[in-house]
Amino acid sequence: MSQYTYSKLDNNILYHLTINHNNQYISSIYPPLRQLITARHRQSEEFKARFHSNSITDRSYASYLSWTDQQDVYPSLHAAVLQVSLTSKYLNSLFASYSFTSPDTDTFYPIAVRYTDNKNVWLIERPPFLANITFKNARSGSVSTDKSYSIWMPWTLMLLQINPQMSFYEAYLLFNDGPLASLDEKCIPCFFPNMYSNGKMCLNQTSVMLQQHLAQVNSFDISTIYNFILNDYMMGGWNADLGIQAFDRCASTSKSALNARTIVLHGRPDLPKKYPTALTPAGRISNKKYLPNFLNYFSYVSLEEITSMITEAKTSDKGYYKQTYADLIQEIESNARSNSLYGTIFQAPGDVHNLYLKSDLYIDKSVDSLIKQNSITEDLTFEQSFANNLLDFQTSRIATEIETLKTNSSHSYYGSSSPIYAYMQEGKIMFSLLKEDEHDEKFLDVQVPLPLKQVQVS
Amino acid sequence: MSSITYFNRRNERYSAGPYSVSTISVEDEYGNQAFNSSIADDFYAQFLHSEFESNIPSGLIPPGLRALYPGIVVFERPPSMQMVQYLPMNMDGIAEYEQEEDEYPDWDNYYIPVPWQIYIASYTTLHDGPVINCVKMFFANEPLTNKNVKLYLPYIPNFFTNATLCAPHFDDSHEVYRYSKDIAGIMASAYDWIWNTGFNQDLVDGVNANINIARNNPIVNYVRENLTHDTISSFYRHLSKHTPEDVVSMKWASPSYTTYYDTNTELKYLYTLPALQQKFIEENDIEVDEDFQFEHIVTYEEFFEWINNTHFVDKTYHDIITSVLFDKNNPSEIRSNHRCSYQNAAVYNTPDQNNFIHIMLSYVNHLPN
Repeated sequence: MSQYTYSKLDNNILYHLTINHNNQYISSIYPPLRQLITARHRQSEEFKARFHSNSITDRSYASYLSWTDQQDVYPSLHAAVLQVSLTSKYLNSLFASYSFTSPDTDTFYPIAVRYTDNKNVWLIERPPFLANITFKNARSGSVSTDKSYSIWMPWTLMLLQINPQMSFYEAYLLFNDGPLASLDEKCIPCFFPNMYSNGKMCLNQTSVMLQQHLAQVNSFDISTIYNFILNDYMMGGWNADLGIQAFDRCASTSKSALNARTIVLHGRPDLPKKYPTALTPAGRISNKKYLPNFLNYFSYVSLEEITSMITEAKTSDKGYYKQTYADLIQEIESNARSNSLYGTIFQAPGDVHNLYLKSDLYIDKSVDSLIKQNSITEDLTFEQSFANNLLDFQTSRIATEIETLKTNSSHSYYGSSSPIYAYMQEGKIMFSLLKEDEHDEKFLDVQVPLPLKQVQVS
Repeated sequence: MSSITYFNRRNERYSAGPYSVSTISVEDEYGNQAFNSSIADDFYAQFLHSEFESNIPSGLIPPGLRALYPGIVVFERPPSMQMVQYLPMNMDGIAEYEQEEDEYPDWDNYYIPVPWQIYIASYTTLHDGPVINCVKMFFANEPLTNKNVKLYLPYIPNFFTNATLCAPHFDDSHEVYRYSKDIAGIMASAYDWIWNTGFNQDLVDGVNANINIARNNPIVNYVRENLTHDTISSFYRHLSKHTPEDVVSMKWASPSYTTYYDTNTELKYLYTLPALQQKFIEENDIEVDEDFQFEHIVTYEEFFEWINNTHFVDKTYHDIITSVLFDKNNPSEIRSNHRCSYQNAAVYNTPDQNNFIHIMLSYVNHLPN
C-alpha cells in the first residue's frame, strides 16, 4: 500500500489530505467513485487524451499508471485526513469530546450507559416501550404502501462502535429480558426487520444522515448519536430488504418463538385473510406473506410474551446464541484497535486537528458541508472537486506532476515523504516543496497550475 | 519478604510516611536493594501524577452515569428514601463512650426522603486501575438533563458546605481497594462512602446550613418554628414524615465554593466569575465597550453590596463542574478544596499508613522480571 500526503493551506484552514492506495479496497469503495475509476480505466485512450488536453504529458500518464500500480488492478482512495483549524462549533464539540484538557461539559450521556471505553465503544440500555412503526412490504427502493403496526420493544441494548473522525458508525441492537445484570449474559439479537442475523443494524444511509445531522446541529455527543440511530430505526420505516433471519434463528432456541414462527409461516386456517400461509406450493417461504404475518402476529404479542421468548433463547444451550456481551465487546474493541491507524488519533499540535474520514463518506455532501463550515472563502475549487467525486482523480494527477517535477528538478528535496503544501491561487492549486539547502531548510514554491474546473469525466 | 524504606531528600532514612518521600528503596530480606530511585520516580509518575488519566476501564456500569471527565465520574440517582444512621457525637465523644461503656454507642436511625442526587467522584489511577479519592454529592429538583440544573447542598451530616464528603475513616486499606478498578467500582465506592459508613456530629455544617439558610421550605420552616435542643434530630424526625415526592420540589441551601461558608473568600471568587459579572452588568445597565474590564469599572465593594448575601447565590451544574475542572485562576484555597488533588488520594485518606506499603509491594510485583 502506498501513501501520499497533500495539504492545502487557505487562510486559517489547512486541508491536509493523506491518500492510501490499496488495491484491495476497491470493492468497498463508494459506488459512484468505483464507477468513476472503472469507467476511467476502461476508457484509457480517452482518458489519456483528456490528460493531454490539460497539458499533462504521456510520460506523466505513464508514471501515473506506474505509480498507482494499476496495470492490473484499479486504484482506489482509501482514506482521507483533513487537518482543519478549529473554526466551527461542530469541530470544537467533536474535539472537546476527545480532549483531555477541555472536556465537553455541556452534554450528558444517555441515562443508562452500561459499558464504555469512553471513546469508541458504547453499550446503552433502554427499558421496554411500545413502538409505532411503519412497514413497506417491498425492497427499500420500491414504491409500495406503508402499513403501521404497534409492537412492543423489550429491554434493548445498543452496542455502538463509533469513530466520528472517520465518519464510522456501527450499531448492534440486542434484546434482553430485563436490565443487564452481567456482561456474561448471552446476546440475543433483535429479531425485527432491517436487522442482520447477528443483531447488526442495517444503517445504510443512517450514518450519512447522522453525520449531516451532527454537522447541522453543531453537536457531537453520544446521546445525540444514540437517539438519532434508534429513532431512525424506529421511525424510518422498516422494509423487506433483510428479511427476519434473526427471528428464524431465535425460533430454534425458544419454544415460544417456535410456536410463533409456526403460525407466521403456516398461517391460520381459521383466519386465512389475516394469517395466510407464507409457504408457496413448492414449499418455499414467500416473504410477501411471511413478513406481514410476522408483524401482524407481533402487534398482538404482549411484552411478557416477547420477554419470555428472549428468556428461553438466553437459557437454551442449543442454537446460535453462545456469544456474551463481553465477547461481543471484546470483538468490537479489537476491531476498533485495528482501525486505530485511521481513526483514533485526534490530536495535533496547536489548533490544528486531524479529522479522519472514510473514502465513501468524505465525498458525501455531509463532508462537503463540513468543509464549507470551516471555510471562509466561498469559492473553493478544491471543494467542488469533492462534490464532483473527482478528488482521487485530481490528487492522482497532482501526485504524478509532483513526482515528475521532483525527478526533473535540479534541487534536492527531502524524500518522497517530505511535506508538500498545496494552496489555492486564482482557482488553481499551487504547491510548495521543502527544499534541502546547504545551510538551511526552506520552502521552495513549485507552482503547478492545474485547471481543476476543466476536468470532466463522462 | 520485602520491606520498604523511605528516604528523604538528604537521603536520610525516613519513616514518617510518604508525605516527603524523595527516594524509595525496596529491600529484600537480606537488605539488598531491589528497587532504585529511578523506579521510584516511575512510581510517582505512574501513581501520583496520573489524575488526568481519562480512559479507564468501565465494568458493568449501573444506570445513572451522566459524564466522564479526566479524573472525574459524574452520576445521578433518582429521588428515594435513604437510611441515615446518625450518631450525635463527634469522634472523640464516641471514643470516650466506647472506653467508658465498653461498647459502641447506638445509632439513631432515620429513614428520610432525598431528592435527585448528583455525585461528582474523583479518582486516582493506580497501576491496577482507578481508585476513588474524593466525592461530592449535590441535591437537585430534576435529573441532569441540561447544564443549568440548579444544585443544592445535601442536608446530610459529614459534608462540607461545598458538598464535599468528609472522607470516612476505614480500619484497613481493603475497605478502599476492595471495589472493582473501573467506573462501576468508582460509582459503587462513592455511593458506599456516603450512605454506608454512618454519620456523626464531626461535621454538620451542611445540615445546619440547610436548616438555617434554606428559604421557602416548609420542612425547614417547621423546624425553625419548633426549635429543640437537638435541631438536627428534630429536623430528621420531621423530614422522615415526608416522601421523596414532597422534597423533590423544595428549595434547599445553595452550596458554597469554599469548604465552609467563608464569606470573604467566597466573595472574592464570585467577583471573578464571568456569569455573575455579566449579570451585574445587565442588572445595573453598565455600558460595555471594547476596553471594558470588569475589575476597573466595578469595585469589590459595589459587587459585595449587589451580592448582598453569598449564601443566596444559586449554583448550577455548569457553575460547579466548571469550577471543579477548569477554573485554574481560583484562589488556591478554593481550588484545593474543590479539586481533589493527588495529595487527597486514597493513600492518604485512610489512617492505615501500611496502605503505601501495600501499593508499593503491589507495584513491585507488577514490575517486569
